[in-house]
Amino acid sequence: MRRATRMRWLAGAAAAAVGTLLWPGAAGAAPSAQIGGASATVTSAVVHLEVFEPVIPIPASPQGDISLGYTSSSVDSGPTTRALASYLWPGPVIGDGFDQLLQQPGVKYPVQVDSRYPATADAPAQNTAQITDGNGMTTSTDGKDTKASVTGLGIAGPGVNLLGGLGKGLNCLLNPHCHSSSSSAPSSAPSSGSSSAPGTSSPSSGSSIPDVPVPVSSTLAGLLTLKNMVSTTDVTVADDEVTTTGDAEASEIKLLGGLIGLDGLQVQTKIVSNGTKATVTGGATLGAITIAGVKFGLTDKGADAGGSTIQLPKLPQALDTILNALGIDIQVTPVDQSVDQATGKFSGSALTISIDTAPLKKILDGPLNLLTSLLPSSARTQLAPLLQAQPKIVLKLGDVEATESASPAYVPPPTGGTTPPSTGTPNPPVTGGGGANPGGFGTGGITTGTGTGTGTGTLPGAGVPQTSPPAGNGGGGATNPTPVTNTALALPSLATVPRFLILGAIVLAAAIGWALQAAGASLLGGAGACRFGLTKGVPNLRKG
Amino acid sequence: MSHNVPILELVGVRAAYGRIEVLRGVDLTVPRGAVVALLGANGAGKTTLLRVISGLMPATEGDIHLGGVHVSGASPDELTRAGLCMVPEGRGVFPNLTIEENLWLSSYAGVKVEKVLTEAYERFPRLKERRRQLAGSLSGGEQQMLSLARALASDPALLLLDELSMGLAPLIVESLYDTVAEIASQGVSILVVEQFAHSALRVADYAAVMQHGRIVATGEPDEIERQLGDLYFGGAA
Repeated sequence: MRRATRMRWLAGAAAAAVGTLLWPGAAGAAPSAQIGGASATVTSAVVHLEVFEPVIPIPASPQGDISLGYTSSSVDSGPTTRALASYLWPGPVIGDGFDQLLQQPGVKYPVQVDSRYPATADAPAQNTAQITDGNGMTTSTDGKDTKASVTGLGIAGPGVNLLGGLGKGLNCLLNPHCHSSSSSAPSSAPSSGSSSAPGTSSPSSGSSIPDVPVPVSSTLAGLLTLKNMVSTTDVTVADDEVTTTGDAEASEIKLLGGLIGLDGLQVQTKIVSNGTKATVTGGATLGAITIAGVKFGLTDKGADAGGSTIQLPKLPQALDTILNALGIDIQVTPVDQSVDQATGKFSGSALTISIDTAPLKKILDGPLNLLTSLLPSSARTQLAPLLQAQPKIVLKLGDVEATESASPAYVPPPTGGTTPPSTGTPNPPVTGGGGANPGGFGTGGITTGTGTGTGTGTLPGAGVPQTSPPAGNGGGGATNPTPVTNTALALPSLATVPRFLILGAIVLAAAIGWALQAAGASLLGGAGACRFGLTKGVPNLRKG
Repeated sequence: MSHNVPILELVGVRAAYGRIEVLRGVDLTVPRGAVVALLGANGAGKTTLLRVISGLMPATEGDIHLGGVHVSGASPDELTRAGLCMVPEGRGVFPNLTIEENLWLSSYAGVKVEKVLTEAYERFPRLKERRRQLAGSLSGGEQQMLSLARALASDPALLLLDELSMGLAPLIVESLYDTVAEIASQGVSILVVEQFAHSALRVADYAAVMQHGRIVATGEPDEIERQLGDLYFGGAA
């Protein structure tokens, strides 16, 4: 059959198909609460370090990253799911491409557990690796519920007494009144003052866990120590909604050898989508901060030091200028969340420190150029790429990112007769409120972004920052989705003139579309000459 | 179409993901009936090049000639109908369908389903044994066999193979490359992209090495194999 003839038949068949679909004249498809498809991804990391350096020949951005207490859950229609948990995750390039880097197919990055649906030998439906009880990585997925969690007692300096700590931990397990928060910091870790100070408590819902942090090298311990880290992600697909949650928590964080101490941090999010509307709740909470031994209680009014409240930000102008000149930027509890119909997004961290070395590089360029000019030319060539490097380093404490989208299932229109549009009555709004804070961070905290509730016919969530104690899981204005109302317009009755006019218009539009396509191809398609003078088109390669 | 005309010829092909340029002027020729191995480290741009050839991604610059005809801008379905077929990295099988159902889908290319099944099972008897099994539950090697069988169902003249060996045991890889050699002996031109050079070079007529979006070396497989250490680690670019 010639192409033109075939196109005419196709246009006619398409018009007939549309007509057939419209034929019953029903009041349109009754929207259903069933979920047809969904896509959700959530990642959580207690500590996330990113390095952006375009000079590094890795086609990814950032070019390097590493996470402590990393979990990830992702779900796509099918379902195809993956849950990943890693105590120390070197980013997808190294973590997932480990076998490529080693050129040994099948070799996996060792510090991880992985579950997939459909399950594989490497990624079974349930997977776990525990350093000690309650100090390890767990994943599970059955296609409906995809969970990943890392619970750890944190990291401490190399001098920590593991056996002594383990004994204490076992004692804690046996004694229900013993809590990890009552224990002191590891001996080798820098002192941050009293661990029983107000505001210091375990973020892990008050559960008692043995005090056995994982010992790390003195270099890392000098940079960072922390306790009681929890990172969880979960995507649950129900018949009528998809729920994505992410959580990153830690306590007693010490940066730069104890120069900066944080009582605790928590970043949480929950996204629910029913296929027509998404709801995003969540926020970031930061406990009291100690800088060089001076303790500041962070509230939404500012920093409280020694009984007096200082408005935030309180960096002196001169210091701020110096920090900017050096390319250093500090953001407390940056949270970004958005809703676009059935798609919800959340991105937040408790503390973000960005160090852009480009300004510093400019300052150092003069002396460096002088030094390199003294080197032999071969050494200068070797060093050239290194000297061009000016990486940007971003350290995020408590980093949670989530995206969720769902679409409603297609329900064929009911056959026979028209159904009058129903007038659904919205459910009464449910007032959100300060839910119980499960083992929060006590006094002195700053919370942003809690409770941005969406959904029609309901109360908006409390969008203002909340003062301590920070809101727990129930902190936002939870909303009930409004029952979907049948609003589709009825088509004209069978065999009426308007109906035939509509069908005729569809057929006419299809014919005009075909004619325009053919004209466009003949006018433009043949006009683009190849610079080698070759003809255009697609040949049949099989006719060799 | 003359036999002297290469089945595939790329001239100065460039492509980018947003502002990141991945292909930086690729020139490559695949003679009719030949097996060409395209080697390179992770991130060199090999997979992107296959995506551009198969019409899945537009080239920002340069020319693509198939059988001496300029085809830049042709859609993937046009190219598939013309006889070009790509086996993607990660195999691209439908995990929730059985082997037989996966093969049925190949019959959409216009080939009778009985012919597809017969040829697939003749070439890969292992697939026949497990024809009712879900593709997602197959081993990596079996999934790769299924992927190859599906590609061959479209009776391709030019086959693009992306990382055939990914995640497979060395013995399975050798066996798959034996199959590739057999397919090539039937006159099918093949462009195979690989990180693991040895197996691909064993069956290749020509080889090319890619670095940072450019072809940095081409030649006979033996010659390329000798240079591989320098090319991968010595920064031939």
